[in-house]
Formats: sequence, structure tokens, C-alpha cells
Amino acid sequence: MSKGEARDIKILVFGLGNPGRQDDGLGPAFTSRLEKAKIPGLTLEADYQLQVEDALLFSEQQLVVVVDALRSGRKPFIVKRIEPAEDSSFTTHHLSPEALLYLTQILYERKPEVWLLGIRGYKFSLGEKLSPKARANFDQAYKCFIKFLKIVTTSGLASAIIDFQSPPLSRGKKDGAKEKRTAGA
Amino acid sequence: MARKITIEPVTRVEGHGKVTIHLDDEGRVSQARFHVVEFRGFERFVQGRPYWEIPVLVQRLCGICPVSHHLAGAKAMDIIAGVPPEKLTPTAEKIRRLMHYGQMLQSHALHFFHLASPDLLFGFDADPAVRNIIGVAKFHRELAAQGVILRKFGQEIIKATAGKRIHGTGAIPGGVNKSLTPEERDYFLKSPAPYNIDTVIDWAQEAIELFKKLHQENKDVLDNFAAFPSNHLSLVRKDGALDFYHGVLRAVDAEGRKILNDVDYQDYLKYIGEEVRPWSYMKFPYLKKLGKEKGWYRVGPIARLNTCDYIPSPRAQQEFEIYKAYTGGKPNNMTLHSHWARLIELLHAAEVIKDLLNDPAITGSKLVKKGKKQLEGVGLVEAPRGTLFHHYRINKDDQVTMANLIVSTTNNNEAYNQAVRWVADKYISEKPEITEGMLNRVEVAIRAYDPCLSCATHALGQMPLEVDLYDAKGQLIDSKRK
Repeated sequence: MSKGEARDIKILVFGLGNPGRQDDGLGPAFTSRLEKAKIPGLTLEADYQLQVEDALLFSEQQLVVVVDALRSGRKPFIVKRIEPAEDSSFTTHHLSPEALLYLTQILYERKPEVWLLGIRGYKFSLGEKLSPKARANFDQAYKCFIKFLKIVTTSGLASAIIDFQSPPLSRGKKDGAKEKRTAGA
Repeated sequence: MARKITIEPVTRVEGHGKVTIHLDDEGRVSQARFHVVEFRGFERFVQGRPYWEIPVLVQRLCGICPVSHHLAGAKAMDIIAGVPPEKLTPTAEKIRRLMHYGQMLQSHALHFFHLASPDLLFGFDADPAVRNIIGVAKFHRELAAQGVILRKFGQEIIKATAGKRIHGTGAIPGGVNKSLTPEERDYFLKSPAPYNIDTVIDWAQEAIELFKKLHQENKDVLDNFAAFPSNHLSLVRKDGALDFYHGVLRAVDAEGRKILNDVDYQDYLKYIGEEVRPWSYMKFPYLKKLGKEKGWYRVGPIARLNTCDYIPSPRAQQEFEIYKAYTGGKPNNMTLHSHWARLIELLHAAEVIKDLLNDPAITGSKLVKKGKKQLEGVGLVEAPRGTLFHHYRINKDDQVTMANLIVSTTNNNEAYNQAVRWVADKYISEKPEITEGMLNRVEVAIRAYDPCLSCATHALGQMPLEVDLYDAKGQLIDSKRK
């Protein structure tokens, strides 16, 4: 694994989900693996959900990658650019990445590049381990992310994430369904 | 035509809740209920796990108040480890308090600044597109930004004491595994404004002033909306002071008479029963002394300020005296005054955090004590939303064999139902149509308690709001979702 240093650009990786709910813990597992890899220059956070104070954290970044579990949709993972939007999550204890980005703009007049890395999960009941299928998806997502990170840190361009794409699909009926996020949706 | 209205899920609360209102043929409310629609499974999940894992495991109950579960679990495990709360080292006790008061600070800040203030600032009938945190950010930017900093400050305190933002490991059976370094302490005390405790205290005070101003402008609504008499229960310190971390159980009735007189919470089963009703997964706790019908009670900020004799920090005590004077020293049963009480607690939490940061014990090195192992223990804290009970038994192989949790939201179960009934009777009964404003009033009444239904059901879940309308025959007439 490459240990490229994110020295030219402020990057936050935010893992969303509950590790006590099996594959819902994909996001925190992702940041935990990055932490173990000790890649310098990355800011890592993990939580059950995004909260209002994360607007301040977002405002301090150039690039944010939110890693969340998908309940349905493409496997092994999707990458999606987040655009600011007002949605109903403003009225709950957790905020969607879109809503949080919108709040970041309103409060701090900053708009970092925000991307969602959604990793397909399968089991979401009480339990601590990732399911084998989710683990396999996780590994693929992680490898791609490390490649992408190298591109970003080499180019110094937050928008380089556009090159970070999910591998070609071998989709069944279920896998072709529209993705449904978990913690931040 | 008889109708049934269902509000599911309730917004700006955590978990998955649903409100159903049945109307009779004349359009009058015949029944109003607050339901919880998820099954609780956590108590079984922890069975078989070694007891020392409990303080970390129970944080998975909830992403909103994991610290409360962490500490209630740890306090129960202290008993099992043979180290009762009074025997902890001063450093361990103060680090835990700091963590807990940090949690109280961030949770209360989130609730007032971002969840409740939209209703208070814009009114119950304001456009829902404005009546939310974005509306606050657009039209009261400084207030919204202050809320963010207060939240962040509390989260940073938690991170410094628990080790991590989620699933911290700070509290362990018999103590803690870290204290603060002088650098960590100084960060909170001496960082440039606004990231220091003095600014936090000032902003907490300003929030109280804001509430008092809004109260002057909307006295009728804030005094009377969903107000009803009830019993109140909380921990108090042994001398009767407000205490979120440790003490004895006290309950008073609507007139202030003591029903539970400072009893040891290890014996909570002697005093508190839990009734199961077939239409909700959430139990209905009650004081055994008064029975199922009359023994229900409220917990949380309003209850705590009704049970305690005083607040042991100067600025919060000053505000407490103003608050108490408003009801002539009697218990305050005005549901929306829970926001006022919550802000006084926010100020108190900030003051206590400053005192703890200035206490030399907070950087001490004596962290853990050992004792003679017991097979059963009860841990109790005042979580942001109210009294939180954790009760465990273990076997000789150190495995958990029984867990019983009564969370704050469960303790308030009957109060939600009373509040929903009040709103339904006043605003929905005999009205020709159901408006957004009416439905939001139901939510406002529930939201005053800041319920966390993930905790109540012991399962994390998404929590949008849904409203269904049924006739007397059970036919769905109308449905709204938020």
C-alpha cells in the first residue's frame, strides 16, 4: 500500500455508521484502517451520524470524503459528488452530507469539495463484525481510495476524485437498484 | 366521520416514533397515543459478554448520548468490580464527571440551538422550510454559530476524557484509563475565544437571556402549552444539590411533596415498576408506591430542577432562583419550561467543567482501584434527557447473564402520551382539517423532552416523521410524511 502524504491539500475522511450494527460499521472501519496505515496529512473522523458542529470541520477542508454503508444499490461501492441541499434531515439529530454542506455554506461561506464513498453492505442487525460480502466490498473500496489519494496528493487537486470510480459491475437485479444510504441518509 | 391521525416518525427526535390520534364520529379526539415501533434487543445482545466490555459495548445503543450509557454501564461495573462510586480515586471520579458534563453541554446545546429554537424563534405555524436549523442559520446566524461552538466544545471534552469521539474507553470498572495532560487542560481553559470555557459560560448565560426574552414575548404559549401536573424523579446529591453524575433517588409530586425520599438506587426495583402495554414496544415505568395509574413521572431538566434543592454553581444558582420564583417555589409543570430548565443546566454544566479543569486532580495519575468482585450491580446517571438505569448480573465466569436498562425516554413515556393528548384535545379535536401547524404542535410537545427513541428501543434507527389519518373503521383517509 502506498503511503502518499496529503501535504498539498486539506483532506477529511469521515466514516459514518454504528459498528454495533454489522455492515453499518463500514464507514468507521474505513477510517480505522486509514488510521492504522498512518497516512500523514489526512484528518480522520468517525461517528454514528453527521452533526451540526461538523459544519465547522467541513469548512476547514478542501476535500471531504464521507464513507457510509449502502443498504442497496451498486456493489462493491459507489462514488458520488455531494451538492449542497436543504432536506428534511435538518429536523433530526443527524444531518445528511448534502444538508451539512448547505449549512457549511450558510454559516461559514465555504464550500469544500465533498464526495460520498458508499460501500455496499448487506447485514444491519445487532452484531459487531462486517459480513464477508461487505468485507470484500470494503477491501476493493479501500484499494481504489488509496490509488485516488495518490492522484490527489500528486496533483494537489481536490477535483481529482472524479477519477476514483467503482470497478465495472457484475450486477444482478438487486445490485442494480437505486442506492440507499444508512447513517447519513 | 370518525378519523385516526398518525404522525410517524416524529422529527427532530432520535429513534423511530409514531403518534396516532383517533377521532370519533363528531371529530373529537377519542384516543391519542405515542408509539415506539422498533423492537428492543440490546439487553439480550450483551448477555454472555464479559462484564468489563459493558462500558464500551453499551455505547452502541445510541449515537446521541453514548457517554451516558458508557458511564451508567461503568458505574454498574464498578459495583461488580467491588469499587462503589464513593471509593473511586479523586482523579477517576473527576475525569468521569468532566466527560459527563461535557456530554450534557453538547447535548443540551444541540437541542436548544438547533432543534428547539426554530419553533421558539419562528413560531409553531411558521413555514417548515424556515422553521429549522437552516432558518436559524440564515436569520440568526450568530446564534446558530454559537450552538456549533458549544457542541464542538462538549465533543472535544468527551474526546479528551474518553479517548475517542465514539466508542471511547475512558471509564473502566473501578476507574478510568486516562487523565488529562496539562496541555489538554490548558487547551480548554486558555485557547483564544471562542474556544475556551469562559466564552462557553458567557454564551450559555446569553442563551438563558434569549429564552427569558422569548418568554416575555410569548408568555401564554410557553406557560400553558401542553402543561399538566405530574410527579418528577431524578438523582440528587446527598445534600439535595443538583447532580448529573451521582447521588440518591428523589421523587416529588406536582405540589413538591417527596414521594421517594433520597433512596439508594441499588434498590431501584423496590420502588420502580415497568408496565407493558400491548400497543408500544416502550415500557411504562411507575413508582410502585403510587401504583400504575398514578405513579408515572417525568424525568429530565424540568424534573431535575423540581427535585433538587439548589444548584451548586453560582451563576446557574442565580438563574435557578429566578426560575423557581416564577412558580413560587412550587414544582414547575409547564412542559415548554423544560427549555428554560435545560439552559440553566447548560450553564451549570459549563461552570462545573471550568471548576473541574482548574482542579489539580484532573491531571492526576491514580486512576483505578480494585475490590472484591460482586455478581450484581446497578449504575445510574442523569443523562441529558433524564434518569438512566443500567442493571446487570454476571455469573462466576464473569459473563453477563442479565441486563435491564430503563432509559430516560422510557421514563418519560407516559408524559409523552399526556402531552400528545393535551395537544390533540386543544388543537385537533373538532377541527375541520388537519394543518401542518397542528401537527407540528404535537411534535413540539414531544420535542420538549428531546426524546431519544434509539435508546428507548435499544436499537438505532432512522427517524423521519409520518402522519396518517384514519376513520372510525380504521380506514386510512390521509397521510403525511416529513
